[in-house]
Amino acid sequence: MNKPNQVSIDYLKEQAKKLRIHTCELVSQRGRGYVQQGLGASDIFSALFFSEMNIDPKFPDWENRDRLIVSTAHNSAVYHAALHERGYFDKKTLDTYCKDGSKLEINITERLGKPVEATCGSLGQGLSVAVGICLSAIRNNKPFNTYVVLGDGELQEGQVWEAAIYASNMKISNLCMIIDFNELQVEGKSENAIEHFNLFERWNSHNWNTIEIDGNNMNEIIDAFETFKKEDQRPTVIIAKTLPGKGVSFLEGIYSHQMFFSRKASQYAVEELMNGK
Amino acid sequence: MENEQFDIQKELEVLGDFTTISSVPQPVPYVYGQTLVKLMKKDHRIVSLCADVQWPTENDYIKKHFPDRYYQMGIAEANMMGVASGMAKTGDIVFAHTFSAFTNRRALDQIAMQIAYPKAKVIILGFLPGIATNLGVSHQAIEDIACFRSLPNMNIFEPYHETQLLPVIEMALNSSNPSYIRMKKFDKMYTDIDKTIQIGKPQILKEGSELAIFACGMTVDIALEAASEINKKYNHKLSVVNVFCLKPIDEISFAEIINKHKHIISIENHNVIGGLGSILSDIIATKGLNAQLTKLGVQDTFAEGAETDYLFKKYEISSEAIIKIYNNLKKKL
Repeated sequence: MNKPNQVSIDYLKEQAKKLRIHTCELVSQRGRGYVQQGLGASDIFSALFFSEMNIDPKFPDWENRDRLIVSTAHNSAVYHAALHERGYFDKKTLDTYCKDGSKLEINITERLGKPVEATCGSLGQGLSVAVGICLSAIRNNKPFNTYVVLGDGELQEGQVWEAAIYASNMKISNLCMIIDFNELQVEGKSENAIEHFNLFERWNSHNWNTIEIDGNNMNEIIDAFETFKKEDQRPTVIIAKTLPGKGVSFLEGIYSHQMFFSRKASQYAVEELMNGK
Repeated sequence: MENEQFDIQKELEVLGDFTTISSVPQPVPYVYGQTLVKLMKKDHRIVSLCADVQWPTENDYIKKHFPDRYYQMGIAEANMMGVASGMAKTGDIVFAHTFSAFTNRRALDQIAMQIAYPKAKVIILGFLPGIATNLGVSHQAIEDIACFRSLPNMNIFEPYHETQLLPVIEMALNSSNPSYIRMKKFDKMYTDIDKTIQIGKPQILKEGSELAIFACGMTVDIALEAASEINKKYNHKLSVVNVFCLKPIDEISFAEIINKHKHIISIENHNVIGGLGSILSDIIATKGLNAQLTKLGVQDTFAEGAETDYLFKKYEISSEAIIKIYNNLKKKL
């Protein structure tokens, strides 16, 4: 009902571009932050906010809204940008991002109110909360879906696997987890820190509806969400391979967790994004 | 266009090496890193474990010097504490690194059962003490001291000055108990070390009358600043006491200082429940002392992400707050 009607892939790409531009500007205002992760996840957030999720910015706490938990709470620039572009708050509010006293903190917080469903930032906790929301939705015949975004680094936390086993045991098919597989953690590229072996097989063996996609390809993202909605037995995990810095040639493939990012660098980035497709 | 590209590259280079370093733009003095490396050179049993916070905990320096004795544990604190215990039980001395908030919040059970109870030779380093981080509530440690105080066998240290870092680590190494060191990165390498401090004992930095300010870690400088302001303005010398060791506590030494004053102010970068203020109120109550105590610190509330100056002001962890209390007390003193 509150979902944009059948939007085009081009429209979603256009929205993703806006999120990228905001991300660059927001991070550069502060001089440092999660620009790489934001650029990498812009396509996923565009698809979630402008196509997939049934939400109403006028009523952020509408009881049948689809829920989104961003367990990677530090990916806050792109998330807050998406809230702004979707109409939750104005540009003036967006520009308070990370300023003293602002509710738009560098780690997304419930101080902001809905649609923030949980305060994460301490990694590995979001999936458990999402599982709880799904169980309650089933118990109370609530029609909404719950989405949770985890980073691949978070999978190192044991709690994720406790939740993983539990979720498939409870057959909660109203749960869709997106692993923002950017291979980026504090110490750099995850293969140099802790490597993930056979991620697809691991989730599959836990009896999850496991889908692997290019997380920067809008068609694949939308198709994956369609596959999720057809599933009626198992929770779904979309392993979405994303590229840090996606969309800006001189930032792509730089595995930097909390990068220093000047206004000048941002200007070049925004210019390239504006001129790009 | 090519010139423009070149400019971008230059701009990026100035900002730091993106491909390998994520958090450190300029060379840092590695006060802690150098100290641990020095100790590792002396004692081959020392190893360093780190839960994916290499740069914020200066473990890049340790990894550079001892790549074989550095273990990247991933974002997995509970596992790290268990592994630390296992290594310690097999003859190693383990320094385990994460942020303060993730010690007691993520791994208290593992620390209790595998480190505190068996007295494993593990030294836990918690960086980002208290609310002194803009990363917000998830990263702000406001109850770590309270948790570790109530855990038997644990030592708790919070060095306030770089000259106390090595002595504190040596106290931890020489103790038969495991230790938790609450760390703020120091920005200047020490040339001298403070040989006066003793485990369990408070350190008197200024001796005055009527009113004593007890502080630990980042609040010590705040207390000193307030005392010097008050001395300047009212010609009244206050005592300032640094509690760099929050456990064990030599109650007699504390009681001696408290007894010389009518009023005590505690100021801490921690919840006022369970931390420094509670240590003092325990002593005042159980020893039947006469002093009245005012506790400054986080007043049993969660904070938020913002710059430290802003947060310390907002939550009244400041010299202004001390001076305000002094002014209210002046009539009584």
